[in-house]
Amino acid sequence: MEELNKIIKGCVAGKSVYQEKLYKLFAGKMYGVCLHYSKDSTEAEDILQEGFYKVLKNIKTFKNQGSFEGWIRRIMINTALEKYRKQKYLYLVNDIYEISEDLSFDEILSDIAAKDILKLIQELSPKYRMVFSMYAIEGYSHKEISDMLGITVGTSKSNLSRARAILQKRVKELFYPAKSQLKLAK
Amino acid sequence: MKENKNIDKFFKDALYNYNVEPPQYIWEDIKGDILKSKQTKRRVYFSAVAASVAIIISFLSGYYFTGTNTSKLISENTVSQIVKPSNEIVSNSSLINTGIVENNSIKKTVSKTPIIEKELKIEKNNSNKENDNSFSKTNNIAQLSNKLIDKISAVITLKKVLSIKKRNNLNTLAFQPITSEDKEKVKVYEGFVEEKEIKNTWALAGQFSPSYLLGNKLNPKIDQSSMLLTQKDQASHNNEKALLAYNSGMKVGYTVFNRLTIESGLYYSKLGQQIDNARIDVNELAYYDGGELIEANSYTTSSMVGEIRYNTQASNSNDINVHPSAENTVKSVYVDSKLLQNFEYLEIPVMVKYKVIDRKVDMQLQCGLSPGFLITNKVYFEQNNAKQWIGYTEGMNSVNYRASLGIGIDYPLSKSLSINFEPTLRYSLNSISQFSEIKPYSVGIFTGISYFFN
Repeated sequence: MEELNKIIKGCVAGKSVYQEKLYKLFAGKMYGVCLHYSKDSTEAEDILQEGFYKVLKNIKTFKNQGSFEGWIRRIMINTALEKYRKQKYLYLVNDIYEISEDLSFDEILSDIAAKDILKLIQELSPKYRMVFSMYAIEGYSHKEISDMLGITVGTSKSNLSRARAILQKRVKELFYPAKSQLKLAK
Repeated sequence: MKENKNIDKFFKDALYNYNVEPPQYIWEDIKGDILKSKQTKRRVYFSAVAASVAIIISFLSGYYFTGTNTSKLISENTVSQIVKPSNEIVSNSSLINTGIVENNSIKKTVSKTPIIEKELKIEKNNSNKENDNSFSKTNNIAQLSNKLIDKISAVITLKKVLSIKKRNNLNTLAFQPITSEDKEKVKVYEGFVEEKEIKNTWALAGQFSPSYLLGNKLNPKIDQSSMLLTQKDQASHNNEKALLAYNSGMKVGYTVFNRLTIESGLYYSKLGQQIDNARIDVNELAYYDGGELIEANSYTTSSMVGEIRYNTQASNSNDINVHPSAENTVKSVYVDSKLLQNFEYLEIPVMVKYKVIDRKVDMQLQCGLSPGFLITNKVYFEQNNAKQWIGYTEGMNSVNYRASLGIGIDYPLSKSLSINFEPTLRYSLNSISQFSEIKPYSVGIFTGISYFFN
C-alpha cells in the first residue's frame, strides 16, 4: 500500500519511472478486463493503451476514496464503452439464437481454461458482450448499464437474457458435448 | 433463475481476475502518447505567450496611433492669430484651483457663478487592464482546415467501405474484417461524429472588449455664416482625439442547427473623445448657430461631434435679444486642461454565427446589427487627475446602429465552459451626431467565458 501511494505520487509529479512502475503493476489485470470487453486482442490492446493514457493523464484527480484498482478498472471500462458507442453503428446484425436445452452448470468442469471462456464472450455480438460483462462480471445493475450505454432498462435485460442463452449453449457445446447430447437424446 | 446465477458466476469466477501480460509495445506507445501531449502543452503555452505579446503590442500601437495623430497642440501664436484682440486669453487656466482669470470681465462672471459648483471628484487614472488573453494563430487555423479536409476524405472512405460491404453481404457485415487503413479512416470519422453529439443548444456568455476607434467619416456641418467661428472650430478640432472605447455585456446564443447560431444580449459600450487645450467660448449675447439658439452669457465649446453646452451660465442675464451672428459677441478662453466627451450606450445586438471549423477549437464567422441607445452624454473637465462634470454635447442621436463583422474562436475549458476570443470590426451605419457626419468604426477583441447548456 505504501509502495502504491509512492508510485501514485510519482505519477502525479509526472515522473516516467513511476509511470512505468504503475503500468507494470496493473497492465496484466487491466488487459484481462479489456479482453472481455473486446472482440479480439487487437481491440483490447487499443483500449488498454487509450485507457492507461487516461489514467496517467488524470491521476491527480484520484482522491484516495475507494480502491485505486477500482478507479483504474472503471476507466478501462469507460474507455471500452466509448469505443463501443463509436462503433456500434457498424454492427447491423441481430443475433438470433434459439435455446431449447435446460442443463445444469453444476456439472460443468471447473478446470476449463480462462482463455477459452474468454473466447466465448468475445464471440458474442458487441451489445450482448457489453451488457453481459457489465452485469455478470462487474456487477453493475440494469439501471447503471442503461445509463452508461444509453439504452433502456428493458433492452439491457433482454440483451443480458440473450447473452446468457447464447453462452449457455456454447459452453455446453464446447465443454460438455457428451452430456449435452445425452440429455437431448432422452 | 438459479441457472442464470450459475452462468454469471461461472464467467465471473473465470474472468474477473483474469490476468494476461499485454505485448511490450503497448507501453512504448503509451510513453509516445505522453511525450506528444507534453509537446502539445508546451506549444499551447508558447502560443498563449505569443498571443499575449501580440495583444499588448496591438494595444500599445493603437494607443500610439490614436494619440499621435491629434497630439499637435495649438501654440500661443496660433491662438493669437485666430482670436480677435478683443477676446481674452487665460494664460494659465487654473479654473479648478483658483477660479482666477486674468481678464476682468471674465473674472467678474466667473466670480458670480464659478464654473466649479459641485465638489470635485478625484478619480485615479484607470489604466485599462489588459487581460491575459490568447487566441489561436493563423497556423492553427491552417492546421484545422487540413484536418477538416482529412475528415471529409474519411467520411467518403467510410461510405465507400460501408457500401461495398453492404453489397457483398449485409447480414455478415459485423464479422467481416476491416482493413487497418479503413479503421484509421473510421476513427477519424468517429471523432467527427462524436464532437457533433456533445454540442449544446444554448450558450450564455459574458464578454469584454477594449476597442480602438480607428477613425470616422468626418464632414462637420459647421455654420458657414461666421467665418471667424469656422476657422476657430477647425483649429480646435485638431486638438481632438478619440478615447479608448470598450464594450462589455452578456449574450445568449441559440444553436439553430449544427453550425448556425443566433445570438442576442445586452451590452454596455462607452466611447468618447478628448479635447486638449479646449477653447471655451463665453457668449455674451444670444445668437443662432446653425439653427440652434445660443443663449446670452452661456459657455460653449465647439467639437467635431457637436457643440458642448455647459451646465452653468456666465451670469444671470436679462438680455433676451437674439443677435444675427456671433460677430463681436463671443469671447474665447483657452484652457490648458482637457475636456472629455463621454457617450455611453446600451446595445442590443443580434448576431448570426456560422461555424467554419467544428473541432475541439471551434472557429466561426459572425456578423450582425447592433442598435445602441444613448444612455449617458456627459462632458467632463479634467485637470490634475480631477474630473468635474460640466455639461453635455448638443445634438447627439439617441440611437446609433452598428454593423459588426468578426471571427469567433472558442477554446473549451470543460464540456460546458469555453473561453472565446472574437476579433471584431464594428462600423456605425448612421452618424452619432445630428450636426456632423460621424460614423466611428472600431476594432476590438471581445473576450469572455461561455457556458453551454441544453
